[in-house]
Amino acid sequence: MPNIFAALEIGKRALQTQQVSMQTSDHNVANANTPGYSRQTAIITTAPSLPLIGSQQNSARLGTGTQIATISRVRDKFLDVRIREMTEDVGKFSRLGDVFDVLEIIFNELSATTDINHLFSEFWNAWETLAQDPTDRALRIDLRQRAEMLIGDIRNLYARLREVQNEQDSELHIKIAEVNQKAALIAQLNDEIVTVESSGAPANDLRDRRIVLIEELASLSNIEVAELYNGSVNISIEGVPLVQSNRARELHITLGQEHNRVATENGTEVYFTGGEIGGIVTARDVAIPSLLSQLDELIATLVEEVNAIHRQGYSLDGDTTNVNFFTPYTPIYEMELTQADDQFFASLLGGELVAANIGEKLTLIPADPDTQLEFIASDGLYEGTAKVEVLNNGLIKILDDGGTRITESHLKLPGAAIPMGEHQIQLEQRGNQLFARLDQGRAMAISDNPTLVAGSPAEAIQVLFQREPTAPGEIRFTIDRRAQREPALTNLISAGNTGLAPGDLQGFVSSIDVSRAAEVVSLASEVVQDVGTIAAAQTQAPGDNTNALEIVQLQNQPFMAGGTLTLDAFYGSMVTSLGIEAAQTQQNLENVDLVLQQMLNRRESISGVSLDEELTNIIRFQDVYEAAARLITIIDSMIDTVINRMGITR
Amino acid sequence: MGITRVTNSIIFNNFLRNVQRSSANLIKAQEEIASGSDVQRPSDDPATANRILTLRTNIAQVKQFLSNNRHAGSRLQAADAVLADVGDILLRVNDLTSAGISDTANQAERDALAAEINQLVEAVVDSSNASFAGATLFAGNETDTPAFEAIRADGNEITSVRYIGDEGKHRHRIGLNNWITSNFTGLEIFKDGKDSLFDTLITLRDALRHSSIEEARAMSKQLEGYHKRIADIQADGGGRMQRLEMNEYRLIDDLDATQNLLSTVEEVDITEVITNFRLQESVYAAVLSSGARTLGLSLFNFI
Repeated sequence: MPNIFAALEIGKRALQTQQVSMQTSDHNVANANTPGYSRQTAIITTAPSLPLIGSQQNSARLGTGTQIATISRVRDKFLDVRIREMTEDVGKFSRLGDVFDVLEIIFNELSATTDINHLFSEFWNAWETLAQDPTDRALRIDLRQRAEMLIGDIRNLYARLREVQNEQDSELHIKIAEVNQKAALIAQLNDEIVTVESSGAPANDLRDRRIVLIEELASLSNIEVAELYNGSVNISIEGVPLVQSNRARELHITLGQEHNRVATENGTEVYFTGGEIGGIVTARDVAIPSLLSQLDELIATLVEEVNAIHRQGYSLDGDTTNVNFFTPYTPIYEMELTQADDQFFASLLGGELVAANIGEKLTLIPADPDTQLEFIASDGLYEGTAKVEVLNNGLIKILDDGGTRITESHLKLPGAAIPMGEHQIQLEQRGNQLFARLDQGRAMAISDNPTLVAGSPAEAIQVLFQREPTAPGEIRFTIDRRAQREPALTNLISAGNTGLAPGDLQGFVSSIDVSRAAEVVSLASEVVQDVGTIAAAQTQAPGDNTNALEIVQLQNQPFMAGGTLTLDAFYGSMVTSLGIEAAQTQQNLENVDLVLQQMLNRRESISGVSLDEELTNIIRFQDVYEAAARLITIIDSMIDTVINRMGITR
Repeated sequence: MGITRVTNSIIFNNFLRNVQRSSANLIKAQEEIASGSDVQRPSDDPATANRILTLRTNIAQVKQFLSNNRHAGSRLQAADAVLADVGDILLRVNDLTSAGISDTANQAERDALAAEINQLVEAVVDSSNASFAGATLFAGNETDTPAFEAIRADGNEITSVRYIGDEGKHRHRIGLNNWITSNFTGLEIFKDGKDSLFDTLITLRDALRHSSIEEARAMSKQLEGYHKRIADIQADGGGRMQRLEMNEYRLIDDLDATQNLLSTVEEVDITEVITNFRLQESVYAAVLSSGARTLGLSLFNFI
């Protein structure tokens, strides 16, 4: 049997349902511009029907109106995953693109008069102009000027590249802080979502906010996201957990780490491949170092090749030869030749002794890595061996002065300090002068506050004597990087009384570190002081231009890239490959950004709020609302009829 | 991916992106016009950027070759002028000798002739020490000292002349693998083994003074040999100058061609960029005006 109050109930439910629907539409309209908001719909179903009592075999069922099943978000989860991946790529390429923009501006290659390519040409041309008249001092001054301009710009370029590299480090600090902040917010939202959803209702707005945060995180870093059954998400970076349920782990940077890695608080290294941080570390650890090392390689080769020819030439007055044009960046080795019976022995200062046989390659090993201590001299010191200890707070403690009267105030640790622990300082009287020696290092006169070196450089080298020395003595020399090619070359700086001449000593090294060659490149002090020392001649005649001409010809010799490129062309190829990388990054960015925009549009098309649609819906709900209200009025009048009119006799 | 449901955000975002893209294109086109170059930075066109750098290096090198070429030319020219002077002097000496060895000449006349020859010896020594732009021409590489040193008797007359230069050759690069020598040494010009032009002139002078006609005649013969040698060297120098001249034309052609190539590579075709600019301008205007129409549309306006 139908119940008149049941009809009233249907009317009431209809009003409520339409009101909820309308409120959901309101909510949608209000959030039309909220980032990450996905439109919600109230899902309307029919209320459970009742069997109609009195129908045939009670088989008919009577509808009881309508009800709200749930309010759900309209969302495509698969799109979210793809969008997150694309966001990582866009973050990476846009950050990398920014860096390349800066790098290209720094190289400023295509403005014709200031660029390094131009200065290179000027440098070679200045040599050739000098060859026209080597006696003209003005041409020599011009050459020195051009060379200064070239290496000045190279040093400047190098410094600015390093500056950009350092900026990446400070950017990294900021971005890691952002990651930590977002991770903390996500952990907090996880907590709230789990609480809300334990009651069964979906936490629509909280989930939307979490997706926004996750996507912001993805634009910073590559992440993996896994949703758990209870609604919380776990986030990790290349397997290193960042967010686990309601807990976020903080990342901490250890600077100086390379190769796309940043260490976390417990020392685990995180590998960043995507997002802005991926871009930052790629710029810092791949793009910029590659430019720096190419510059080093270029300058190291320029310095060596020019020096090697320059040294064989003669100065304007014909007296000076064996002078470098650029300051060599290779370490200066100091070798001591001693004589015992008929045999000469060689050792790097402080290192072990090796018999110096003619025509046999000797391996010389220094005593210790290059560590040093400064000695501040004063009167009243005696011969003896003092024991000192370097403490971890950088202070030096005298353990036993050994009768030398050395006190703490005599000693100071410079930048490249000796390691913690015990060391020896030995004072020896030689003639009327005191000499100090640190550990097995070189003895130095202490009258002029020497820096004591414990033995330098660290790497073993090989030397080959072509001729027997005539007397013991001290030899200073450098080994060219050209020594890696045959024939090996050695630049003898001074040979003491040993009677050795350039060419009598050959040096070999397995590898020479050229890093920072472009940072420190400078003209040799002889050339700076007197342009007359520029060696244009190969004889003592002032008008001889043959050495200048030999240097000029370096311009067209392919030294670089395994003997395929000239120095100029190598620089050109460096600029070009920077251009290619920048263009590729730009292209990649455009590609992934286009895909991302399409997917965002797709998502917007599914989840976004259309005001026209919502307005239409509101009108629809309003119509039904009005109809239901009307229904209630009618039922009201029906009830009025039943109560006030039925069964009353007048 | 077709979009079936268009929301307000899609309309706004698309409009914004289109505005940004077309204004970026417009600015790029404007930059091309303003700078006259379509490669502002290497990434605009890496291959072209590399070509520009290579061409610029080539141009700088060719300019230097041209400078070397001209320098060598002027040195040869200076040497040529000096050698022509010496040739004239030798002709004059020849005339004087002819007069001196004639039977009709008496001792007083021969002394006068010898005195003039003495002056001419001084002139030849001066010429042999000629310099160009501060550098001695015929001293090999010893360019800051004279080529020949005159040894004088007490009466200040030159009694012998010594070469103090060397055999250095001045080479200049006038092409990538093209070299030219721009100097003759005093040895080549004035010396013949142990003898020299100066010795001949001095002997001749003294012979006339002593009326040793036979010796004077012999010297006159030697003089002819030196004269011929100087003429040969002048011809050699002339040949080199001709080679330099031709080389200069070639270098200038090369320079022009490379500079033209650089401009075609580096500079924009102004008609093309302006057309492109107008195109970008109208695209931008179209994006703005279509946006202005769509953005205001809403159902609210109609109900």
